[in-house]
Amino acid sequence: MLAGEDAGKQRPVRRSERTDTPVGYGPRDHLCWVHRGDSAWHDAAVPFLRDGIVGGDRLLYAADKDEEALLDDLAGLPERDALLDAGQLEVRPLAEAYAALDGRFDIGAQVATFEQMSLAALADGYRSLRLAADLTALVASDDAVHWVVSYEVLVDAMGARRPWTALCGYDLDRIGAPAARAMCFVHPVHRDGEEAVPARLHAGKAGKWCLAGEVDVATHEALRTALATLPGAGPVHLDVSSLEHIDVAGVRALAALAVMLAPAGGLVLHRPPDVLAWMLDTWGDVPGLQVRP
Amino acid sequence: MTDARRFRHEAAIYRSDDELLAVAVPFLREGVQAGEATLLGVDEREQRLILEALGDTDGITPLAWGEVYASPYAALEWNHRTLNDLLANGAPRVRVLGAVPSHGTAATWDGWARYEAAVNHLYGPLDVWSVCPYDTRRTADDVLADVERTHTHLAAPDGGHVPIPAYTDPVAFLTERARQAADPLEAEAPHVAERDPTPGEARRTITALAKATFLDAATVERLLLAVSEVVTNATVHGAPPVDLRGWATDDRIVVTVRDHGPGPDDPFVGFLPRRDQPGGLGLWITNQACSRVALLPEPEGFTVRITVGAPPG
Repeated sequence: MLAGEDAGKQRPVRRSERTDTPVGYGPRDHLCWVHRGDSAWHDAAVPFLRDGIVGGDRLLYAADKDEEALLDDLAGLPERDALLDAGQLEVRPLAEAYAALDGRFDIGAQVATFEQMSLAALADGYRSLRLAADLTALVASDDAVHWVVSYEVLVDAMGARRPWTALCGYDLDRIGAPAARAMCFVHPVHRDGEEAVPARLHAGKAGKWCLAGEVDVATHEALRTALATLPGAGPVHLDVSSLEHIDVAGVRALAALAVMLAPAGGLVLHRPPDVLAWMLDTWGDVPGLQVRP
Repeated sequence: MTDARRFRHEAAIYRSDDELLAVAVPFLREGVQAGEATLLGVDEREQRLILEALGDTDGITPLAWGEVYASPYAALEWNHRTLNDLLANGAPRVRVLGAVPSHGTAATWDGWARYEAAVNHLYGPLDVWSVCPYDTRRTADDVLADVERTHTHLAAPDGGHVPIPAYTDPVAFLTERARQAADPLEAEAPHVAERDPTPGEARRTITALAKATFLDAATVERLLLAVSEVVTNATVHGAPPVDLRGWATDDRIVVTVRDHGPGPDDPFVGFLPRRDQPGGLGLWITNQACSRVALLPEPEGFTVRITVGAPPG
């Protein structure tokens, strides 16, 4: 057991779904909130943070603006100034909260920072670190999309086992539809809306990853981007039991990943639904791919 | 195709064990004598008969017939790889005496008929001499008619190898067969219809249609997989609009997907798991997921018809 891991306390079920509200989420939940414009973003961030006041979370708010503007965003948060004075609320410009805005921040260091902050919040008597961050500015280029997807996948693995609750905002008008769909895809919870996707890839129990929902042409690009970022030291375990559909191109992406991971231990698919098991059987042997019923 | 053609595809239509042996024994023996790779893929009883009649079985390779010929697609993939490997490793020619399984000439004949036609093209450039035995005692007349249209020669018990006048170009055979396989339900107004569905919408539409049937869950799930692939192909490789139509009875579902493009360039797409061909793998899985799949080129469009469940009638 790692120091600070709170396995002894209650482990709320991690939610995996589409939602139309940022309210009602707690530790380990990781939401993607695709919005159109600043005020739509505050309208989600404020109630999300307010949930944490009741729940006893430490609150961190970040966006690409100066401190004064950040505080303005939170004008609707009850007792905002008192929370600031008490040290329960902190605001940080994005460039400070995340190491750099050029899309090439140090992902490992960033995840480690949030992990330390989550554990520190717990040590200080809070339930979790609750982060609301508008990450639009991180997605400055196509190349950056891959970096941010990679970050989201890795921070999700941390968030699945640490006292961490997060709402990640992305402005659809600025990052574009394909990037928005990719971001939705790599969060266990995302906003139901025009760029919502029918599938999700996120961290699950016992070191496994989960691929859930419906994988088809609507999610191929996001799937390939996300799969490419799965860390490949030792076999990668992917729970596919909640897949409602996966098409041939989706299986082809999994097969390609297995081949790529073969030298490092390959890809293990856990509990495929019957029709996927049939497809894999029909497909034939793929180097590096194991299937466990 | 005809110029480069080396593949010999013959049918042996026999009425007795003696007639089978009269074709099989010299065919295989001559193969061994000529130093050719010589493969034998028939059921256990016939294999025993043939090997006993040969006496000296050196140089004959009996196949794991039940496995290799489990389905037309398994047979195509295995044979394609094996024939190419044998020729690449120096065999001057490959001889195959290979039979369609007994269910193949009955319930699953459609797939095997398409297989028999397609191999004329897919194995065309290979130095392979294949004789496919059909027992008249357990093969229906309409199946035998298809056999004659898909084999260039008849291997006769008297040792002759006679051209079959009914042999039909495989593309023509496949297209004609697809047309003839129109389902009577298609004469009715569609029970469900949708224009330009996403694959997900198409799956939901056909899921709703399937609720009216008694088909088991596995059959319906494979149909949904197939519908999704065909709609994806039509959307990605075809031309809009894409029309999805479906019909259902208690024990059968028919789905057609029509787009306004020219259809795939390669009329043999979907027979082999070609991973370098757009849409090829999806159609290959579709072929195996459904009871019947028909590709229908039309003057101004292209339709794929997929059927699961009991045949009409």
